[in-house]
Amino acid sequence: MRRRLSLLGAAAALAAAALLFAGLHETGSGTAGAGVRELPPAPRDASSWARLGLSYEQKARETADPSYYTKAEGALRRALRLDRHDLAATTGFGSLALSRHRFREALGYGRRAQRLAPSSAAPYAVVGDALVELGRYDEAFRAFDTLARLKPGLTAYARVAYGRELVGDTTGAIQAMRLAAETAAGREPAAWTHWQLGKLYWSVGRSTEAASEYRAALTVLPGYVYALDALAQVEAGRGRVTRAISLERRAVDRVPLPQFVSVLGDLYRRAGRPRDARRQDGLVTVIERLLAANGVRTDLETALYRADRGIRPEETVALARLARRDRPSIDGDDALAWALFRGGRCDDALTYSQRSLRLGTRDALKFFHRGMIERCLGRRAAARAWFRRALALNPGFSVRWAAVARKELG
Amino acid sequence: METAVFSAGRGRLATLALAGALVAILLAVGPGPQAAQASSHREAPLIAADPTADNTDLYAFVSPDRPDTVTIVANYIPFEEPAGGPNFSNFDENALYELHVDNDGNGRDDVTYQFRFDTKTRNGNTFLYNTGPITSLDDADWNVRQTYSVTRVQNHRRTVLATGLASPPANIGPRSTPSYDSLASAAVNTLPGGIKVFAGQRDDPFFVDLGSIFDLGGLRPFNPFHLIPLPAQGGVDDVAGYNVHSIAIQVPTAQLVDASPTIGVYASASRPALRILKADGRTKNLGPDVQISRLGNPLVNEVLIPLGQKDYWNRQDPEDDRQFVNRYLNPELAGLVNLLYPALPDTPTTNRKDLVSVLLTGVPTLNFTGSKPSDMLRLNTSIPPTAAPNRLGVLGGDFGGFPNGRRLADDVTDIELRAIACGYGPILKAALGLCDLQPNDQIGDGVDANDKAFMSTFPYVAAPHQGYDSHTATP
Repeated sequence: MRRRLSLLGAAAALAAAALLFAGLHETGSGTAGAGVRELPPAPRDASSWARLGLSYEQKARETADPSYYTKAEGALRRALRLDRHDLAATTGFGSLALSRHRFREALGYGRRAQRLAPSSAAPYAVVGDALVELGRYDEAFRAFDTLARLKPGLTAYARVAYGRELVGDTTGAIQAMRLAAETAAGREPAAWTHWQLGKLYWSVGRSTEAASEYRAALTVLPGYVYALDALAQVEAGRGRVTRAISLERRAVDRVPLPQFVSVLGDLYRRAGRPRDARRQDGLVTVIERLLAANGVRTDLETALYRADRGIRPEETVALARLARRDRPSIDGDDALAWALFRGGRCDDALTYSQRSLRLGTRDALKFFHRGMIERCLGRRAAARAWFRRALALNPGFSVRWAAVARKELG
Repeated sequence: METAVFSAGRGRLATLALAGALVAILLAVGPGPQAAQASSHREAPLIAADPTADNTDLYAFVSPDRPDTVTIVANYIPFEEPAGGPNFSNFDENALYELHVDNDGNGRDDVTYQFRFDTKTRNGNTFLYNTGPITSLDDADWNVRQTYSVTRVQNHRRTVLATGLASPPANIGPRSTPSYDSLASAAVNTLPGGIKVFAGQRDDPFFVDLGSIFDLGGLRPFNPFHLIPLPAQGGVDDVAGYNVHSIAIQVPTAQLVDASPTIGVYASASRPALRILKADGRTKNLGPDVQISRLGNPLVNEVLIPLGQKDYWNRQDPEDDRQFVNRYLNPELAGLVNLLYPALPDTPTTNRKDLVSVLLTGVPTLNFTGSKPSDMLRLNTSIPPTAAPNRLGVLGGDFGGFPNGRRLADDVTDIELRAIACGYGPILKAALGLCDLQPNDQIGDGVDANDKAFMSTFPYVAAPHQGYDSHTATP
């Protein structure tokens, strides 16, 4: 009889989880910030705890409130304690680790999920995502290709698009992301794919198409912060700083992510409002502390942010090294190159800049970084060539640095 | 709102009103792990719902008004809200939709009908679906429309049967779609060889009491038998008021059958694989189509196939279903029935050859296709349609219904529940020696019919609920 009751409990919890998800789906369609409809999972059922964990992760995606990571971890941990072979909880831990930028941990969970269900598609996504950030691109691309062969759909297409973008094939990336967008169901995934498409267009300076994708994202999901931020950058690139500030302000008011706050600071600086700019800089520190308190590693983002602003160059180099150890990707290489440059160590910087461009990625900001490093090494012609490349690719590539590149070219 | 719960799996929660079904379904569906974007790294969704490739139900029956033909209906896009504007649901033009027919019992398709869709937007500068009343299938006020092609594949030969066929618009309301039935009937196409096709929005013909099923596998009329008893009640149809997208085809039987009158039918949806790079380092956009969902008998994927194998099961073809036989022989669900309904006699949990027979090989003397196990709807086309169909199909002595094919009105929830619970009823016990525990042969969810009456002619599925009148939309 006891066994019966515990199974009964399990069923109750599953029903509860179903309701929870139904509720989440509703709030997910545009009203980020609405409360999770919490129903207690059965104390002894792993699946229901796993579901709760995943629902917290979804909530984090909607609200960008990092405290949901901690809640997710608690629920997933309970699930694994009840059943250490639970597939959903293992996969969930993988994606949680990705969100927290703990990529080696994510790889471990992804591999475990693969062993639990070798024929399932989702674990390949976790594994591939982790490998990308660990700089193991050949293996990552193999994982994404396998994923796309096992289960074509948004999950796979979006990752194929990213792979193509990384190797510099923007046209192919746009084709793949377009497929992802056409497969997207529900407002958040639809908005996400439009945003990604816009970013791809923007990366090669096609600002009209970019803006129209961002607007499409905002039509599906009004107030979608990532599209507000991205649209602000398009407007800034067009020289409409006031409009850009108002868009970025809206993004920051909703979700003060560090990169939004940082861009807003740059915009204020450009608008000649240094006091407002400094206020944003203070906010970034606070937010990064909040992220760290919820297990998110932000070393790389912090290093880039500090290097951009020339804050304590030696400390920043140390931080960038630490970040790159955790994340030996082309982004890790680029952050370290930039930090080394700001610390005046341009020989070392060049090595890492070369590494950051080794895949052939067409990334104007990385081109710009390279230009500054070449200039520092006294190679003016090479520097000018990189600045030209950056601006030719995307004249508005950075609120802060595009103007500098233009000035360098005279 | 239900879409979140059901759509990523195959079909809706479908029918088996038991905790086991809940377990299977809830594991299979729901928004997957999706990471928040705390900062710069790319976070693509991990498990995304794919409703346009989600085959909710499959039907195959001898056409009641044209008994020398067989009608096959495959439904996609679960829980479409009639008031789903401005982006009304459509078929996916990147997906390949297929209806497969096996006519010699080897599990392989002998005749396949492929459907591909094409979306046309007349005016890209408006997000509006229509800018005035849609009064015909080529109305200039209709902005977003779909056409489709039908291709038959037989003996490795591909024959394009038709292209540019019009799909009707969504049923929006009295202003946009004032005479919907005439639009829908204009979208019934007759192809050479006496084939009829239709593809478009319809009422979801499925009916089930999800609310009670989700409450600990409850069946309202049998509430007193539950581990946590409640007073008995009538069932509530939670699919009522929702639409789906139907692909329907009616084919002269002679074009489908071979030596035996019994055919096996399944539906599938595929999407193109992609690679980051080709071997030569260049990209090629679309790779070969990969089957990502299939459907023969209702509920098999939801209830019998474990979570870790669902992707794999969907990629497999029925001819390879021998590898899954143990899932049918020893269904975990049977044990849960026994646990949740202690007052009912226990159903056997192992060696369920009856389920293998009903779902994988066909029932001897009715629709047996040989020893090769393959999950398909099996239809003996020589059994003429009856003027008085019984919702319990074969269990009710009506051999023209499930599990002999499946008609729109067949109550597969109750039929499969009784099958799992070993309550096949006195008729099948006497005829075939199938188990008949009592009162297990009386159980059901209390929802016995669809909310809308079916049509008496092709495509039979009822007209879609109108957005204007809809009560299902979440505010």
